[in-house]
Amino acid sequence: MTGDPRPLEQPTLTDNYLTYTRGFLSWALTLDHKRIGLMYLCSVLLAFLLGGIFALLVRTQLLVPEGLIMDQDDYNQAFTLHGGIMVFLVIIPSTPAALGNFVLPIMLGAKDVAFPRLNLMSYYLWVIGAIFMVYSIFGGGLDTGWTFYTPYSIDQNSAMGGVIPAVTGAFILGFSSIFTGMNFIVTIHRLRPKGMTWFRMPLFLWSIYATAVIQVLATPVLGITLALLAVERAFGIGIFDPTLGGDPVLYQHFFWFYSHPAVYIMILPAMGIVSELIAVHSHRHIFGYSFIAWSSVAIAMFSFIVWGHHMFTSGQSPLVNVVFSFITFSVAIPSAVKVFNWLATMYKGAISWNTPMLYGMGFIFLFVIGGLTGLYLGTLSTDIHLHDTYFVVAHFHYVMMGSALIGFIGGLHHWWPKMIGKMYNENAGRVAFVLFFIGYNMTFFTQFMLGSHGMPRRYATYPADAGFQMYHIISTIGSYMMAIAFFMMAAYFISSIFGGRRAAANPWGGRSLEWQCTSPPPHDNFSEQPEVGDCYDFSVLRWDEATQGYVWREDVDRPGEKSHA
Amino acid sequence: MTAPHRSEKQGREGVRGVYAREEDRVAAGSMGLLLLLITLGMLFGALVLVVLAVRLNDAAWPKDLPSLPWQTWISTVAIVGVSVALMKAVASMRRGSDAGVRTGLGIAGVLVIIFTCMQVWAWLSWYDAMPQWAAATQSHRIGVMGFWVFTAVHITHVLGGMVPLGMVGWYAVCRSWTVSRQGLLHHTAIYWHFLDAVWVMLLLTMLLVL
Repeated sequence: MTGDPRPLEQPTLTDNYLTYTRGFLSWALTLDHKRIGLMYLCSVLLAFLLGGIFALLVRTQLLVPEGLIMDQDDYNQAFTLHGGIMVFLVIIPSTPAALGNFVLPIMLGAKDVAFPRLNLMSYYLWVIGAIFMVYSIFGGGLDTGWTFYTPYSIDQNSAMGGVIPAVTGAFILGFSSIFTGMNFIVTIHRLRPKGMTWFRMPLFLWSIYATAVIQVLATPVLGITLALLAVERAFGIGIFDPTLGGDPVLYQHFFWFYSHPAVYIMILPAMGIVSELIAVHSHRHIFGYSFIAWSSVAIAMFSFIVWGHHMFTSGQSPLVNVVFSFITFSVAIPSAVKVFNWLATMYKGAISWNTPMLYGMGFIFLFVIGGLTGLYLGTLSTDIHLHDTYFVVAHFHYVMMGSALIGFIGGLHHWWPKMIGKMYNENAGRVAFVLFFIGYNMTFFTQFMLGSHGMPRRYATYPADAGFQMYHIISTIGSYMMAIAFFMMAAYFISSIFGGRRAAANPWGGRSLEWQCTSPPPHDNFSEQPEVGDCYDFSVLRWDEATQGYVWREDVDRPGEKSHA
Repeated sequence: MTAPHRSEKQGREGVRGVYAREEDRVAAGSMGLLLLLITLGMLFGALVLVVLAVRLNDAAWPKDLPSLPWQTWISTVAIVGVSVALMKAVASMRRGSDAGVRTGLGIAGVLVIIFTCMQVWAWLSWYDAMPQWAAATQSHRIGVMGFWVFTAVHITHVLGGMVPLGMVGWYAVCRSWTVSRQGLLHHTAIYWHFLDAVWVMLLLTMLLVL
């Protein structure tokens, strides 16, 4: 037996990836996946701030029926930029590119991703794409909505001049996403350590893998569609422009062929994070590992064959509508499998009410609401009534923000001590969560009511006597509460860097490999390839008061060690 | 622990530390290439599909559209030749014949230049001929614009393929072959075979559909 009560590895701040080399160039040209992940994180959070400002502008405008702060053109730009920035610059890259880059190779016990140079290139492609996207504000403005629907986006007399820069930006961001996905697939295939079979991988890696498959297969379709849109607008090639023999609805088909799978690009990694959060903070073996793993693959596969449910009102044949409606309902099965398994994992678990766990549970609550309201929109008859109303806005915010972004925030809280080597203030984290959670539901639950009462989306004003104003006021107050919660998060994260308690190697009691290296990890992650055990068997760990972290139990052999008894 | 010197740090920053053996690196590269080709296959497939959808929904498609410029056929011969020359280079590498590799790569390089020049010439001819078809194709613009779209998307990938071709050409001139560089030669050949197949698919689409 190993009688050494040491932590998994002694934390040290003298030789970690943050201090390994110094200077601007050592970051700008780094090939270290951890630094690239951190650079993505900072960039994505900056974009989130920008997208959030536009969201607050939109909400403030709707406080009064006649609109409070903008004219209608400015309002169109505000919601377009909010959507475009949040989807393309924030939610899609947040978990895979930022957290995935940081965690994935360490979880595999690898030194880096399969193609480190390609990884750095992906980051700079993201930066270039972001510059194009933001430039669209100054390059004539953008008011098409984040979907760039034709024929509006190709009409020189209506849509603003920022369409081509924004579309070019989205095109470049797409290739950043593709290269990241390719990198992760090859990394998972080629750099898994000895003993880590497919069904011994952490579930986060399964979800990242399923996401990467979607990125590789679906994103090029968006790429060529957006390229054709830009060329159509610039030269009039007659693909989407009906006056030149093109078909505007064709754009919707190709756009949603990508953009529906993109919903799963956003949410699958968050589901992977939640699987980790629920298991680690419940200190209980994940329930139904293989079901959760396969459900990620099933969701990825279903994602390719449901795009038509975005187009029930576009004049598709009734038969096609019925088929898409039926397949859409099928997505509920693997999604529910995940939810049931998370709940079963928590059942009789020793739940630690840490901030990441709160976000994990918040995810389940909000995802269930987002998923169930999706059934109303997947049903043909109710969709006709609810189409283009605030019900749709509420639904996709419950899925994209309430689920995908909450998962990301939960993951950020979970891996922050590993990234920075410092603990944040737990009490502040819990208060921020409560504020965020209440504000979130105030903002978006009211929008279900607005939508079912007939408030259309994308309107800058509304009739004073329609009974919408009270809902809008509650929604706007909720958005301000969320903004305060986000600023609180920023404050305690930043203060933790300078004054936080030093984090143990394993502060939460995780078993996957990232918890076996120091916090923050050394430059090469592991001096030698670590041995792999069951990454959800928490019974071998115990809390160590001295290090304020979890350590290996003295009476249990570590993987790869022979018993001394 | 003493901090390593800067040069040592930079050495450890390199990508070689990720793989235990050079062969592993080549195998990872092969998989990466496969994924890249799947991605590009989706891209070109979507391109053909979108044009096909427009064409098939157009009941009044004009019958007297211009035929493809003659330079297109020379381009076709050239790009098929690139594939053949690269096959010869790879085969020579396996036999250990440096001269064969250099010959194969040299021929491939010349043919790529011919392909590119012919494309530019074909575009100029097409541009000159466009005004006479303008009226007939006003409401079927993809009939004449499709040529631009297909060839432009393809040639961006040809230009991209010139980079690894230039790199392996340089290695051949220097006679400096490692396991990784041999792998790059093999991957370059596969990429150009792919471009060849895509060209044939686009050509058939232009002939049969547009």
